[in-house]
Amino acid sequence: MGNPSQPVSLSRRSFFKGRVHASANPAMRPPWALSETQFVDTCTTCDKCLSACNEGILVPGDAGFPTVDFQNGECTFCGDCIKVCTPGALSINDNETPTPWQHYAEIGSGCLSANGITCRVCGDRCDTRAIRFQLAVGGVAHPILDTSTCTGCGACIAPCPVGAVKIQHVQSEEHQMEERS
Amino acid sequence: MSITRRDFIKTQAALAAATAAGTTLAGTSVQASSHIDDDIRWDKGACRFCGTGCGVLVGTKDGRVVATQGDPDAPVNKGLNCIKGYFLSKIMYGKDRLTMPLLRKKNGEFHKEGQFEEVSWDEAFDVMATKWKEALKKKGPTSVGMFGSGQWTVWEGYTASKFMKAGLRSNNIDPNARHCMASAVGAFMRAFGIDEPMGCYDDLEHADAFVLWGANMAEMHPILWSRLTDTRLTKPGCEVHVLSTFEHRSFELADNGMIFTPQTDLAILNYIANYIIENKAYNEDFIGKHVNFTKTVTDIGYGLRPEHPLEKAKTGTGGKLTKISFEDYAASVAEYTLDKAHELSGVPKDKLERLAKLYADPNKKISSYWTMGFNQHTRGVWVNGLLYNVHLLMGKISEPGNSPFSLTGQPSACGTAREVGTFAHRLPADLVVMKEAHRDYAEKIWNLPKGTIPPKPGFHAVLQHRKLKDGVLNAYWVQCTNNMQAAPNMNEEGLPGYRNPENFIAVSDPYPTVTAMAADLILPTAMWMEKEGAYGNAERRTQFWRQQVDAPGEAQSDMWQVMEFAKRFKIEEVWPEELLAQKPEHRGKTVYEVLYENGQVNKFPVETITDNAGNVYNNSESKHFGYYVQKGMFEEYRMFNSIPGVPKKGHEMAPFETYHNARGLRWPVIDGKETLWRFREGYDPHVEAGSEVQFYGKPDKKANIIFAPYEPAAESPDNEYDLWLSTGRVLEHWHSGSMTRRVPELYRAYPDAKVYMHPEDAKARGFKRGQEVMVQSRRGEVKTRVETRGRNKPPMGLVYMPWFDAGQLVNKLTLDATDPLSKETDFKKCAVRVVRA
Repeated sequence: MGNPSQPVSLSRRSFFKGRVHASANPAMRPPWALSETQFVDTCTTCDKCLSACNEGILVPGDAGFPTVDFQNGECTFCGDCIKVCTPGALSINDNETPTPWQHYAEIGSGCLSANGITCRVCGDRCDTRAIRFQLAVGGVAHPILDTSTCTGCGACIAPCPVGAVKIQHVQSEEHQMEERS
Repeated sequence: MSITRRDFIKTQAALAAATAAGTTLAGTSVQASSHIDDDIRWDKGACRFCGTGCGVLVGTKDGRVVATQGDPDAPVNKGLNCIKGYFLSKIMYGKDRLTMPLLRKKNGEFHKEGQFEEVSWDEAFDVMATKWKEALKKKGPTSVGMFGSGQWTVWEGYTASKFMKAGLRSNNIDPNARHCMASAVGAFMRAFGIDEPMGCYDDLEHADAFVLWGANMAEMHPILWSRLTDTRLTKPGCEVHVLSTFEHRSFELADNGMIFTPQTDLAILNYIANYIIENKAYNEDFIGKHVNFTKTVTDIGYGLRPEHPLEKAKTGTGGKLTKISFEDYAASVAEYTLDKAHELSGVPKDKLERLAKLYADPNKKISSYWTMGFNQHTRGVWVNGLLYNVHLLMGKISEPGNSPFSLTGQPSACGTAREVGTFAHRLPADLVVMKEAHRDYAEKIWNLPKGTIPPKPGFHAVLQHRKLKDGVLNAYWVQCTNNMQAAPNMNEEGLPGYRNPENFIAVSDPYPTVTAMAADLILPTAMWMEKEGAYGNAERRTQFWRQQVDAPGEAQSDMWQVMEFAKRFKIEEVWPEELLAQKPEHRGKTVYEVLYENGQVNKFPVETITDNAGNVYNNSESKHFGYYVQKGMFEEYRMFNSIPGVPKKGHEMAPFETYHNARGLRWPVIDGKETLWRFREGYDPHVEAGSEVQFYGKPDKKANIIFAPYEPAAESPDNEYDLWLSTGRVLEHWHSGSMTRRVPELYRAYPDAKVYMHPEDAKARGFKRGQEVMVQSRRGEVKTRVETRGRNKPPMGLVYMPWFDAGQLVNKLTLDATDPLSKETDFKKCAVRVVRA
């Protein structure tokens, strides 16, 4: 487990840098997390949310901050992680953040169905029916993802046999503005 | 500069927010095309899974199959593939692949209760031969048996069938196709006198309407479903009707989706026939010239053990047909009114009527498809026949688009299990052991003394397990199938049979399946591309492939195993003196020599096998035995269609080499030309000029319309067990999952079985989705999880569970009730309850 107060070694740093370059995605925090800057300032890495998560999708990430690993399962938005978060790094503020997060799934070009292979795995896992398969001429049904109904729960991530489904990481505009300034 | 990790992560977040704003991330580049690599050798092959028979290109590098892709030149799939086919390259490389024979031993010797230990092939076959000879000596040929497969290659099935029926003189050989296609076979023989569909996949483009009867093509035959979908979406007026006992993925395309109460398909089909007759829509000319009307014996029981109350209560036996008049037939179906069909089935009247009108419309070309919903049915032969009745009444048969079509579940259920005669009652090319003329013909081709082949059918699949349990069948060999997991009622029949101390069970498999682990001896098997092979798909298409790679360790093909085992028997040990006296030249020989070094099978010398690009391929069996074994077996099998006096015409195959250069050919192949539609002049050369249609499988060249009534299922829900259980497959896994569950990607895609249940049924029992529950029947229980959403939506009162999961053996629940005619189990209907785990 990392200690957030420890200095970063140069080699560690270049490793992180490499990752930033490769994925362009910052770590994904538990639902109802504060903006990344506030979250990192507030979270004490007490790990209580990790053990509170029944799905086991919260794992310690860089510097011990909790991150979501959808390879372990999906977020059911049960809120158990918030209940144990005493510092308030995870909190439901009804006015500002009614939704747990704004992430949504994205199906990449590696998708089997896009390549003439009948596969319906992600659609089958999608409880909100945000991923539907449309029957089409000339081969196999195509996935259509409705980002407005996608909750970013991640249920479609692990089962994809070719790893073509990713979570598109979205931070709220205020957060982005704040971080740019 | 020193920076803490907390600061660093904050910086990283800001950077990412900036770069990610408004951009789309590229997905991973896992595509079929990324496998294409100059060093890969590509060759044509056939998919290892279902009966569709997709052509695949197999990519090999450094002695390993590394990739597969849909073959663009394959007429069946035209480059498409399903998720299972996409991962074919991984099925041979599971971590627990067996490479040495394993024998149960204690203190260095075989012991029924011992632990599995590695042994040599010599030791394995020595012990096995001793056990088989003991059984033969003590009780004769009916005490030995084999259980094979619609996944055997054509020549593997031929080799095994000949070994058992001619060599050991036992008809106790049956394939797993008994669980799958036997009802279809029975109905083909009764209606047309010749097996397999008259039409072909081209009907998917020619038809104006499609009706699915107990087939979820969207999941189980996805490539054919793609073709059907194309037609539905592009042909004006095309419609799709789907019937099932629960809603599944094929309903997405249904213009008329119908959920019926289990077993009432019998009533719906009779209603359609009644509708056609009442409205005088039938094709009078066609039925006058080409059809006989008959009725079948009724109240025939449920194929259970004779002491079962249901068997004692039955009043009829067998499938004898009695000729009746058209008027008699019309009177028989008259009671199946719309009201009655609706009351029994629960299907709304307007939907039933729409379906009946469709069949009765003389201007609509209709293709009907079915799989296990019809075949795994205690009245499977009947229900297949009732659909033929509808097509025959309208003359909608044997021409492009008009096609009653039985889909198959295994890659060579047709090519192997059915065509080369691996059923307990069959010989090659539709011949049967019960007919003396057929036995005589087989014995002539095989150069055997008259009387070698026993006239009584052997034990069928379900009976084999019963006879093992009862200690009647004592030496048993299972190849290429996972029957402990597949066969019904494993607690009461299968497992006690295997573990009966009187019995010795050998299982040949590439993996330690449930079946292998229940055996006494496990033999490691070469699979799929590790041998030269041939499969025959559902549209009569025979497809060959070359051996692409060598098998690991000491694994050997099923054919090699049977031939080597045959060397262990002297002909004097298995044939009586009166047979030997007829053919004294066989004296002193081994069974192997009599059957396979007979001047026919060993006629063709070993060849260097190459493709058109000049790549050279190995052929392990030919190298070992010293002749081109596959060619010898196939060419001898072909004699059943060419030697004068052919008892059942119409099964002609092309010479061996032709298939290595073709993307499969549909038999009968006559003068190098395949046959797409049988029994109709202009398409089928066997039909005489001027006759229009000839169902030449029957002596009078007429097909049988066979009346059969609605009769209830063997077991229905009651107060104690209040739900119907239907079992089946899912797209991601194939059959018992012994291959697909070893592909990590497929495992991840659908890891464990679950029980699909109506949300109201779950609510009434206090279950949440995903909750652990026990599914219980009178025969056993299985722990699983509740699923109330997803691809299958059962009506209230029915649950559905797939059987691929070795961790949830659903056949502890199923009842071994079979169709008394086809001996095929009804895996779609038994009574269960679901309780908290």
